[in-house]
Amino acid sequence: MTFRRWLAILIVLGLWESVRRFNLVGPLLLASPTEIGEAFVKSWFDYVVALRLTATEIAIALAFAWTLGIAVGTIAGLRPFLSATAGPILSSLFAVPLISWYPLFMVWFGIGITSKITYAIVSGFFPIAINTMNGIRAVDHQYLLLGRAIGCSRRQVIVRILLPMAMPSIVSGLRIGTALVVIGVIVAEMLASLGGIGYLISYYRSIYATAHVYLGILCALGCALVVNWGLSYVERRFTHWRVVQIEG
Amino acid sequence: MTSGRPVVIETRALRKVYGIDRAPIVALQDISFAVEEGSFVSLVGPSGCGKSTLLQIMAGLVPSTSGEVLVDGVAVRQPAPEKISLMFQDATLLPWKRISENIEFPLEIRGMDRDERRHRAAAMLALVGLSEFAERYPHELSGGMRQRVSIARALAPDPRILLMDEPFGALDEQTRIKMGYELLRVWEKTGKTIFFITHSLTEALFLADTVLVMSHRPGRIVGTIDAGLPRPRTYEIIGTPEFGATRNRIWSLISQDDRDLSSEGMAGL
Repeated sequence: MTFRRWLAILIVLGLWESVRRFNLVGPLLLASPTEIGEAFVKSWFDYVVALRLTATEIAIALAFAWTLGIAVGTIAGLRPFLSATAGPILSSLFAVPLISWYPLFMVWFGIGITSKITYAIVSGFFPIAINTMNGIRAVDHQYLLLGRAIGCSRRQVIVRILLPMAMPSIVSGLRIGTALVVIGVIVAEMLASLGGIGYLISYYRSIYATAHVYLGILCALGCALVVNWGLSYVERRFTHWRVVQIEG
Repeated sequence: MTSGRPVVIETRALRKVYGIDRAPIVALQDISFAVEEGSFVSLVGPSGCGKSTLLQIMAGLVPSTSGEVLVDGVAVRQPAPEKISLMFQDATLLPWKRISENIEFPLEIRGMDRDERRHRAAAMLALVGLSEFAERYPHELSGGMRQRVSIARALAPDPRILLMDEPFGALDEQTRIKMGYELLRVWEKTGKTIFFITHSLTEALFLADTVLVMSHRPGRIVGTIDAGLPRPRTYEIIGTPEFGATRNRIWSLISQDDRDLSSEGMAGL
């Protein structure tokens, strides 16, 4: 299996390289793997600096989006009145293309790291809050009665029963929210910034350095992969019982 | 309720009204009865008559509008897990916990130490005959087995009273009969006081010493029937004339009170 996978990757890379070697596609549209490699060797340090900035922004934004999303979603889910009123508001806010707000974020928070982080938090927050709220509300009322009947405090009912019951729904909210945070940071960097992977992509595009644009995209892809790997860990750790349930 | 054993649960003129401001709905009206220590009492009534509300008031989960519930002579105003355990129509097991951990859960909430919890859970699993499933997860068990685990969990804190809200209502008929036997066996072995809600007349009568009959709108007790059947109960008892006659009495109490049911089309049931 792994051998086949490597073989497939080698074939794709080979095709990609030959398309450029035989000049089937112009240098503005596509950079070959070796060209991308050369770009990396030449200016790897710029990429390391940019990656560090982007990774910091993503990490901070994720911490806030997850915490706020789960907290607000839990509170809204616990109160029927709040979820009835907040639910539609959250959902419709989520439907607005948030990027149209970004110019305002720049006015409010400048073109430094703060506007990127805030923008990314806002993008990731809604799906997490909505899914958490729905997950909490979907828990059968009998579980609430059970918790109170066995003497759980309100906090214990939430932490020991409701949140774990809602975890599958929360995790799918985290999946969407996390992807939106990564997208949010990089898009915000592309629009206006002083550094980061998005900035590099945007800058090199403006000087037609296609190999560097591809290198930037690869870095963004790397960020997404790392974050996704972390998310899969969370999913396995907290919803393993559900995976088993589906198989069984 | 004639054997002269001490009364463990007593309800006095319980009344529950919903939506006090506009269009109040009287869910329960003048509910008064007493349950003796160690007895098995069933409550039957049409769906929507307030059976579950009554049970939740008895468990201290919902306040009554007026009247009170006494357990050992003390008014119940909040959940009393050391005295009262609850069971629901669904087994309400926590799907991420193993069977033994599920049984330990209420003990953990009480702050019992790990070794004692383990010991208690193992004893309860043995009682319901599921020892070999201790390390399994709930989804690996059948519906009937999950409900047995739920019984074990309810008994683990060693309460005196078991309040059961249609616990076998979601099971198929054969499983339901087996669960009835199982519950009677556990009851005879542990001597708990059981208050059992069901909408099945047969189930109510088959299990109980005393059957309380409830009507709806407003929910009130329209009859208290002494089962008067020998124990141990066997399935064959359901076919006897005595059983049929008593069941008919319960039915007539429910139907005479209900315009939907007392029309001639339903008379033969």
